Amino acid sequence: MIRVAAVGDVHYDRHSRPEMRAHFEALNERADLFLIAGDLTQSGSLEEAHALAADLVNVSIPVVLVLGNHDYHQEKQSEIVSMFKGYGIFALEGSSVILKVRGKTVGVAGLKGFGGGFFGACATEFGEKEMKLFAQQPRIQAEDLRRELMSLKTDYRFALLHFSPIEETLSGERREIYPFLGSYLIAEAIDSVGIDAVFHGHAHHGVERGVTPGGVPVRNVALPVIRHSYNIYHFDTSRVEELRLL
Amino acid sequence: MRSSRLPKEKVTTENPEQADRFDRVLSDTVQAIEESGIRYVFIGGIASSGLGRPRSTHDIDLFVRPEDAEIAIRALAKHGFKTERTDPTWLYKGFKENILVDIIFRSKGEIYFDQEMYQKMTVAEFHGKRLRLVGPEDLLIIKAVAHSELTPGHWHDAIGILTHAHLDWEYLLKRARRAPRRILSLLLYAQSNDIWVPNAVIDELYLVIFGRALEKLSDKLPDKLPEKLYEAKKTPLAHRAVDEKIMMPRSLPLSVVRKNEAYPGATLQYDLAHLRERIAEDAKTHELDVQIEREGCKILLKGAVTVADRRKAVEEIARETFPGFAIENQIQIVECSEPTATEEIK
Repeated sequence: MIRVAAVGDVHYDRHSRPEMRAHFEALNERADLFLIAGDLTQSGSLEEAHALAADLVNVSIPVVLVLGNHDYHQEKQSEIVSMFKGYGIFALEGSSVILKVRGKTVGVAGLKGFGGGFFGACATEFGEKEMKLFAQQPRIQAEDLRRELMSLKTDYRFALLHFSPIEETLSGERREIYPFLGSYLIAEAIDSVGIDAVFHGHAHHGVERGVTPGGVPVRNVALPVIRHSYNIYHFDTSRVEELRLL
Repeated sequence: MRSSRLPKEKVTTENPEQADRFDRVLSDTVQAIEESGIRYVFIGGIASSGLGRPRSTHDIDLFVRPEDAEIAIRALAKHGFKTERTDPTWLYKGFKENILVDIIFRSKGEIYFDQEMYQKMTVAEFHGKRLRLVGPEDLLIIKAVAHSELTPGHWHDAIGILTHAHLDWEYLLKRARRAPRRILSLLLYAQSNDIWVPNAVIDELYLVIFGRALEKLSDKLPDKLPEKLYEAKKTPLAHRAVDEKIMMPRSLPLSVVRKNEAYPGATLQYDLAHLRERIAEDAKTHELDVQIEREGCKILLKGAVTVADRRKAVEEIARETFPGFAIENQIQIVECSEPTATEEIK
């Protein structure tokens, strides 16, 4: 069994938040792995990212994170990623990490994801170049995610995203903005591999639980949705182990 | 518009005792309020009967300014009414001889007894007394806005006003801006029942809401009103107080409706959309999670943010963008605690 803590959309400003810091430190006892699903900062400044990194300094379990759209606002995403790496935090941008926890191997593939839309209502690469650029993004991201997930030969495999791969966890958001909240292409990539769970954020008005068409559990851990500093999920037997048992 | 705690006795000619009692309390009310020297008009059943369709009524509704409500209720108390301050946001009540007097100072849809309404007041006869009644245009708007599933009578009172009263359409258009969709639906409904409403008024209201390139309104108005219709609209109950105007001008000057902006209704919608963009793009906020709604002259800010400073910053931007509006900040701060539960995912 492994214990995964996850949250998204912490939206740090320049200031450290003592209560969050205390909650994060409590994770050392309660979880084996901490995932943060993007929108680490409010306006994408290095200073804001630093404030979060400082609050994570005493967290001794592995911390894995991806960036969100807010973290891109000042086009400092590369600096932010490097900064987190400097703190020993795994900042994933179309990449993956393999960790050893409780004698098991755990692989996490992470990227921001993007909008694009869902079945029957999505952007296509047609028409103006701006539209093509928009529609290309989820395709590129889905391809990166598929590649990374395929490369993971671990006991447990997770995908960490900012945008949603499914509509179900967006329930509560206005339907008109679904194409800005996620893309079904990401779910397709996930289902083509088959993994243990997906975590995402971004949809503040959505709901926590959903599942991909292929049956992979999806958790929207956006802080305004879970209303806690994180939620903790226990995974008993991994999918890979289940297949071995069959 | 309201529910009274008293049994609803309708004042009808079948029950002369009750009618006498009602008239006595009405006289006492008029005397008390006149003595207090405040501005007031009758609305509700009395005004509806006076200006629109004859109908029975069981209570007396006065409309006053919020700052005068306390004076009004004290004036009633002084004249032997039992009083209560039912709801400090819109309603006080007085009782005498089992008759209810409502002192209303805010009607549904944020309608207040303002200067324009005071100037449009009319005087009409009710049970042999000459009373100060709200103008028919304002009564129509009050009634149409108050209408709901539970109170369909208001809608038909409003229709009654269209049928019976002389309306200053120009003024109605001006005042309808606080509820253009509701008034437009009322006017269309009236037309569907063969009640005469000028097409130009409907057209104008449509433009206020939706906007579009328009032809000159004066081209669309008939030069003269059909004589018969005009006559049919006169009723012995309704008399204009002073300098009765010609109610149907030959053309409605557009300038009345569009004093400041090309399409007030539409402009506001755009401004609200731009406010949302500003809140997302301004470095002080960068907040994408705020919903903005408008109720009359009030802007409501809703949603949730993670820190209090940002909540305040959003409000400041809204105030800068909408200086003339009341801003109600309902944004919540997301509180997060350390979770106690865990989920087993299988």
